[in-house]
Amino acid sequence: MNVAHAETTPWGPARSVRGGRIVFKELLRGEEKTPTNFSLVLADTDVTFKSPRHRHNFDQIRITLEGSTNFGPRHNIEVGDVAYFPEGTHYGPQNQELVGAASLAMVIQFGGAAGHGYMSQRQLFEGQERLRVYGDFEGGVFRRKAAAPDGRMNQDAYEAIWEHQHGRPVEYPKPRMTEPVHFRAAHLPWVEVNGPGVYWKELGSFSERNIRIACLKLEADAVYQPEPQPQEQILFIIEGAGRFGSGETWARHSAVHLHASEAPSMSATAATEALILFLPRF
Amino acid sequence: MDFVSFEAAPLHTRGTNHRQGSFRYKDLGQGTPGRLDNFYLRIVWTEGDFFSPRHMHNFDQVRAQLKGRFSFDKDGTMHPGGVGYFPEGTAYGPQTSAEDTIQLAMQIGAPSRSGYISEEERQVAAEALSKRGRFEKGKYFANDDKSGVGQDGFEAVWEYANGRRIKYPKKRLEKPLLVNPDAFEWLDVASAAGVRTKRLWDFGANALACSLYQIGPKSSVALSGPLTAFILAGAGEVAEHRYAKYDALHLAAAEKARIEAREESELLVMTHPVFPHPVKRSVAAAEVEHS
Repeated sequence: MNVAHAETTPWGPARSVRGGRIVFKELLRGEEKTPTNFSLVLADTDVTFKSPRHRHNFDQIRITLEGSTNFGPRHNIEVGDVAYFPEGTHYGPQNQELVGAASLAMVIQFGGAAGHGYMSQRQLFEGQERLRVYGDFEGGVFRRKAAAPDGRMNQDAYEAIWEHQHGRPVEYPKPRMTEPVHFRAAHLPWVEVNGPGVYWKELGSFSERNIRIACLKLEADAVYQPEPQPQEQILFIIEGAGRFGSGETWARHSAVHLHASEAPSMSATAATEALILFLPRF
Repeated sequence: MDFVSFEAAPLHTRGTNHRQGSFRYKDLGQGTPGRLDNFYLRIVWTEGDFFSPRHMHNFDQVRAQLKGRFSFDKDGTMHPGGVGYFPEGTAYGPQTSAEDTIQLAMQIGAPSRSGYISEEERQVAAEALSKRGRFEKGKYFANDDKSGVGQDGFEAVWEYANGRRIKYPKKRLEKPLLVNPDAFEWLDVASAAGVRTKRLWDFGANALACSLYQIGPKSSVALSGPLTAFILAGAGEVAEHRYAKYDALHLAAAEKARIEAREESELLVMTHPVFPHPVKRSVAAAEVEHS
């Protein structure tokens, strides 16, 4: 079990492999070079942020904590929504100017069902620095000073870094879905489970590797004893305060990584709402 | 267990049509009218003239594209092999096909507990409404409606059948989910040698979940209800029945059946929603908050 708190984690420098200003606060990270490697960040997205239409070779979950986050024409993630961006599925272009204001979001990027894993934030920014010798990053595109061996001058910035770090062309899984899955999660009912004051909202589970998304709500003083699960889990505390059976505490915007079969009890000292992601099971 | 033979099912042409375009179909089974988990499975043939305006349902729908392409405008296009989930409350379309298509369509009661009106109820309502108005391009125009705006054809039918105004649940998903099963990996089923599965989605106990099963020759798998299994390909036996392409099998809660493949078979398995109290929809729908 690994717990991190937004309050005690510093913001990183403003940097992006895409366009415009975005600042990250990385609360949790997984283990590099494993299929379930992940990174959980808070993303302070400036109104100038833009990103061309693109896809990933990993999965991504986003929620908006403050404001509204654009992820394509006519597509904004509002507070209360949950958006799932599966590997291989195109989305965008993102343009925060369409919202007209900055936003604060929580983003989890993680290795998807295809088993390609996830390049860590450390590997990403290290690769970006190394590539600056060979070209410039502009608006989400890496523009080479001289053509690559295959003749390309320009390339999606993330792709270029991934290929530099791995020494081979990036492979995208076939898209399982034609579009990201955008939940209007506030419209789903809470279901009381597992004792008084404990509520569950099942959003959905996807793919052959059972990537599962749910929400948990605890009333103040409620105690929740989860069942052990065969998958790793990531909990993000949207609101609330409390204490795990292990003695660790949680507060607003804390993040927790649970290994498979870890199931600490949760005792809420204030009304709590959390997003839970079950990582793919390999 | 309810086994429905595709070959033996009669082919119908929709007479009074609340959408537009030629529409032929075979019924492949239904549930119990009035129950929240009532369902209707059919296979539909359309020609290049089908049109349905942008609309939403107060039930869940799953479609499997068997031939041709179906366009849902900005919500995407279904290609052969594709499976789509159209949840209650989520608007989609307009829907058109510019070629001959074959599509499997499952319609079933959804989490808002509005249930699903049976095909018989729909037909009775559509015929009655035709006597006091007309259906045109998916809309219903009552003779006494001087506005000329009309009403969505399904809404008019639903309101007649239920005797009250339709209320749509708030949308859970912003768009329908269009899935390409070809991109999923087959995984072995641990308890059944020679059987592999692709899990497509699961939105929790109150909504229809979808998986594909591939059963090798002389292999078998035990299925447990409530579910509907549609034979996409292959041949074999289930209980006393011989199954073939496009047959359907419906299992009620706790019912079990063993599918034994003679030829390699592929099944679309749709696990039905489970409601704690499957009371009549007219009572239940009033208990939930609607938009």
